[in-house]
Amino acid sequence: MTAANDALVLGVEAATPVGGVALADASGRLIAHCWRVRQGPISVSLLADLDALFHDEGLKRENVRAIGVSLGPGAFTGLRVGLATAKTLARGWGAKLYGFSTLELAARRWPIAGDAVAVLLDARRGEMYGGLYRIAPSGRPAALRPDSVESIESLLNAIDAMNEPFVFAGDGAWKNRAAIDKRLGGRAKWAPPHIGSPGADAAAIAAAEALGADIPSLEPLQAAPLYLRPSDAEKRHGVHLNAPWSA
Amino acid sequence: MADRPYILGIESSCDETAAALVTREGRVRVSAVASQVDLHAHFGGVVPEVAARMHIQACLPLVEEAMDDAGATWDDIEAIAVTSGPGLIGCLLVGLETAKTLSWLRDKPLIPVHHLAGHLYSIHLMPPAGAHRLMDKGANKPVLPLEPDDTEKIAATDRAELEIGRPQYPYVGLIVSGGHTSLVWVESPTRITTVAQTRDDAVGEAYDKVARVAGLGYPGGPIIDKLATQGRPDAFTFTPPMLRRDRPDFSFSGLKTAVGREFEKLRAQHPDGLPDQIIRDVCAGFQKAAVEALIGKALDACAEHGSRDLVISGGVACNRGLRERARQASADRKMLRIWFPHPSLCTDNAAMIAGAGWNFKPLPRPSALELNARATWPIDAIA
Repeated sequence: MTAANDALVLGVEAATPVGGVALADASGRLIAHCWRVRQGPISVSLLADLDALFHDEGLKRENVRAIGVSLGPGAFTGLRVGLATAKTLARGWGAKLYGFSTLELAARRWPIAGDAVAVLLDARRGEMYGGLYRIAPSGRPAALRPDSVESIESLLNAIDAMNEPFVFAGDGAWKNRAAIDKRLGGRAKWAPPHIGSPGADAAAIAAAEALGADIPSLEPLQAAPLYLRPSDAEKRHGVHLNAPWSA
Repeated sequence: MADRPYILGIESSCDETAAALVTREGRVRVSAVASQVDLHAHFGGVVPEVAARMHIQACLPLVEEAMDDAGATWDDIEAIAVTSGPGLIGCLLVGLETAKTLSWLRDKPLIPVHHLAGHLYSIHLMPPAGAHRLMDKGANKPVLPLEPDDTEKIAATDRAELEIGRPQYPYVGLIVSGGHTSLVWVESPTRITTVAQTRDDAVGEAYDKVARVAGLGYPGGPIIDKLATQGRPDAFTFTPPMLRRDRPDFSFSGLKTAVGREFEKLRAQHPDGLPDQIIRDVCAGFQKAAVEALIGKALDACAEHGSRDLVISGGVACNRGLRERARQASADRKMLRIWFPHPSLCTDNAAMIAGAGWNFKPLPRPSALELNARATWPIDAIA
């Protein structure tokens, strides 16, 4: 039971179709999680769900000490909706803001330390957002290489070169299961489908851990999404803008 | 201060992020704008995804800057007004989500405002510096809706000639920008009816496209306006589009294409490069035709509605050719007064959203939390 004055940590996920909000206590114990497999725009449901979460649980929003937000990669508009909300709340509450890779949040769900996990989210246009991690003894994923957006063939080349079994998760992995199994054979293991969803609960728990470990937080006014992809116009015109996402 | 409270306005419908604080009376205490025009110049026009990426970086800092510059606390804020449409959906959502979250966080009412209703309302605001212009009986006069206070900076020459006044409802409004070209009948800040709109390109879009084919850069409006003042408007004649009175709508696509063809023809005649004077002359001819279409239809609408006032707003209302043609028209139609907001309130800004916001009812809490942006939103439906 969370006491009325206990510190809270909020999680926000709007980068993927399974968006929502979650509250945890400062120890990382999940208190409440509202998520939806989206039928409509995340902008319509996100704040209403947040309001309901506090109201239904009888919790005080001013007790939020940290916010964890899924920074991307993912749907560009959703990323911005989630981050605009998280930034504004962090400034208003004076709460710490922690941003996490959407792929890392999904990898956090795999419970076996030492395993290598490949999270693939469908980036459309024949590409995947790919994150390769090893689950540390603490349960936290450590990146084996930077998150990327690339073709499934290119990702499989990178994974194959590591010459070890990988647990695959995410909608992009399931979409390409035949190609993955064909290329890697017995080295490809499959996580249950729910493992591939990043989720606001994962963001809240990760933020609670960061808060407890006194990890430096983001400056809310400067926090930017992790798009991984330039805009189409930048690619078409061959322009590299001196902008936060291209730095 | 006695002039408080304020409405905090937030605007992000296209390529300008803006935040402003405006009093109930219409005094603009702060109007902060982060323009992306230099960024979009790389592409020759506004790129929606790039604009949205810049909004998420600029929006919250700009709100805080506006609050700080006004020395305002949240106790000074009566409500939050935000552009909820029409506009680029990814851009609108950044401002809207910021406004919704602030509204929930600070327990302040949320007021969604139609972007064009904001443009139309700008003539009723006191700009932080300078004055609006009134074209009346052939004169171009500085005008303000209220007596200026000591914080509102007016040039000495304007102060000497300054009139205090505002258009009287109902009147005809002409909104001209890169995204909109609409003639409307304005009965009140919240009751607006469309008379005519463009069937294809907005007039500002046509300026951008003509500038692009001429290799003049972006944004096209100010560049062509400047060159047109140095050109001969009758050296190249373009037919003002859609001037038939039985067709009230605008169309600028044909004019844009005709100017583009003229440039092609001229380039073939001058393979070593077009002389600057020819470029200036074509710009002058294009501007004359575009302005004639705008003013001609606006004057027709004023005559049909028996309107004593015509308000011209939006980014293209900064155009000097348009302002001069309006001044001439006011000499011919002595009963008609034509109003232009100060340029800082013609281009996209949040002061117009905050000012208009005082006239709209806030949304009830559940609706405010679930408010979504609207890429399209007929202005006739806002009342």
